[in-house]
Amino acid sequence: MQAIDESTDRDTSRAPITGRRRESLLEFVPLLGLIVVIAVFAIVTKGTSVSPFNLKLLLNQGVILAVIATGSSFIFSMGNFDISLGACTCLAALVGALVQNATGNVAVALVAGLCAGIGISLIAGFCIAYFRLPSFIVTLAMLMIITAGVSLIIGATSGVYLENDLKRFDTVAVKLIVLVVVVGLATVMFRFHRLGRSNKIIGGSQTVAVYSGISILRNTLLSFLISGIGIGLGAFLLLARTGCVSASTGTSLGFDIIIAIVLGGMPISGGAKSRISAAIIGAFTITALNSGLSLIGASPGVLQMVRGLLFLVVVTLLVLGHRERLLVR
Amino acid sequence: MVREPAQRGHVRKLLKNTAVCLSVPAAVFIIFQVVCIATGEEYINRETFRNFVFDVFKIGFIAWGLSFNVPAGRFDFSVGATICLAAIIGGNIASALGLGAAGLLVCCVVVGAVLGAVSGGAYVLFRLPAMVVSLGMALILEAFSYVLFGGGGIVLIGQSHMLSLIQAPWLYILGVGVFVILVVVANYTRFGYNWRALSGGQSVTVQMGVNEKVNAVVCYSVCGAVTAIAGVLILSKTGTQRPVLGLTSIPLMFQGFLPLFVGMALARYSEVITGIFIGAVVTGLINQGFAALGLPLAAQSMLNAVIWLGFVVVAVNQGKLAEFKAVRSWRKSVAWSDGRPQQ
Repeated sequence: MQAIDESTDRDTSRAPITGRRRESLLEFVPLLGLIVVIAVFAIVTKGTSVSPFNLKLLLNQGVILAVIATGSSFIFSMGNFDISLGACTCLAALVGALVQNATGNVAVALVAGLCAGIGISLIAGFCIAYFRLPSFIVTLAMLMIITAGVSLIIGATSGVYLENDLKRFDTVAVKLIVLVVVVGLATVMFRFHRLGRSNKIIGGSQTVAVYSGISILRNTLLSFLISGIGIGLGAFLLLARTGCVSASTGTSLGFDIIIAIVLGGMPISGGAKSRISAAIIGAFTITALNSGLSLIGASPGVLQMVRGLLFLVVVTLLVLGHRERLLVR
Repeated sequence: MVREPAQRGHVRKLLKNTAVCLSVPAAVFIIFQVVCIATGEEYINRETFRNFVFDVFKIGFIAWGLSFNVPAGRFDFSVGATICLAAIIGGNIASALGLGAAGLLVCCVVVGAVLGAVSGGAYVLFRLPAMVVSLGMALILEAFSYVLFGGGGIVLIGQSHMLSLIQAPWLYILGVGVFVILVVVANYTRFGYNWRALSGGQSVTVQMGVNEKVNAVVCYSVCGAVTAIAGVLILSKTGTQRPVLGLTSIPLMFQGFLPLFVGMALARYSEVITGIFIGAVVTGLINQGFAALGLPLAAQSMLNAVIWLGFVVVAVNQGKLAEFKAVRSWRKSVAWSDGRPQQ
């Protein structure tokens, strides 16, 4: 009898530890995924994908994605969804470019782009929080409105070119500084500030959050504000790199951010497992994947198919075992 | 004799519901007519009427397709990609087999139904939120439109025997025929009954013995088939369907949202398929009005999105508005009774 009791005690005391170990091991899976993607393409391309030139390219593309994804992590951690991130970035870059051309002042252009990003993001956040609309409905409408607005301003085919280019800001040093500052501040906000903690509670259960005295309106607005800052900074870096804005700017960026966040290990429903590192790891994973596939000569169609399949598989694996009961059986 | 008052009540209700349903497009028509007269533009004439009818049916087919999933909580981003891919695959098959317009329609509808079933199968298999699955499916279907047939899509320019479906009697026959079929399917079949029951409450309906998984797959399939007809209309008008990438198919799907939500709001006065058709007429009138006023396409789609968002805000917050009015009237009555001399 005593033996049975002891064994039962042992089992119950071991179970949570094993679960915890498994959980902490799972946290490294996205990072492992990034390493595997880089390693596989390094082998397939016989080292071309990890050449200094390509690594610089990877960094150039990855930082923009990482900065925007880091900001939007606050939205995703609440269980909200933003499919208009690419369009918002395009609009912020357009405003920045127009102001830069009009004033010739980089600081003013940066502030204008930031204001555009924050403004458009806050409008979406207000509609979601105040009118209690689903985030994908609002951001879908915003995507349509912004895309049409940009086309209206610059035309469907033409673009706005910078008269004085911002190439001096298109350096690895500048990008790394921006990335480190953004990630540092976002991590502090996410881990140690009330906003990050309450966002995770909202993502876990809105009802619990409301009963705990958390203001959904305040958190949603602040999260969209932070996302707007990310969009503004990302738009500025994008503008510095490309030197022009067209209606197609940021078309694939919006969905790349969603895939990046998912690949980084952020649950699509937000909640306690949300973390800023997901945005960084995911951004560089998707950039490495896009770059590697392009290097082996994959067509844009194949590239998109791989991204779509990967998205579905990773989301399924992430929520395996604790999926919502969408269908009764 | 005893039934007369009840019959009279029924007729009165029918007349009232008809008046409500017709008043919405009538109001939109009058507003744009007045604005166009004031600005010296011509609203709808013999020339633009054909465009208007084409627009109404194209939007109507997309909205009818969406109605099988969206009201049941299955938001589907892959509808636009399904439309494009069904037109590309169906068009290529019909062209290779040397079929005419009817053959093109059948091929596209069958391909659309299969693609819809695949999306439905993915939804059931992955057991993820429909929005997430449909995003992935939209990417994959768009990619197929690029990968298949060497990325050339379908070009039928000059093959007028295949593109006659948008000509005068055929477009009306097609539109009215699909409308009748959908009304029958939605209201007088076991599938339609189950679909409406599941949209109302899943758990109870499943306990009654309805298989929600089969119903979901069939709904996706019907959605694919119906929206593929919109693809046929677009293909018949432009003569081409190019591949789409980077989720650029979403605006096509978006065209069906305003009529869908208008239709869902009008469904209480008629039934959902008829309501959506009225919604499509309203959207067509709005589009025609914007075009008559000389607004560019981008401005039209921007205003359509704003109108849709406004409509959703009002629809979702109807309860809040009623609550606000009730609270205000309660406060007024309390203030009035407080100020009244006590007896």
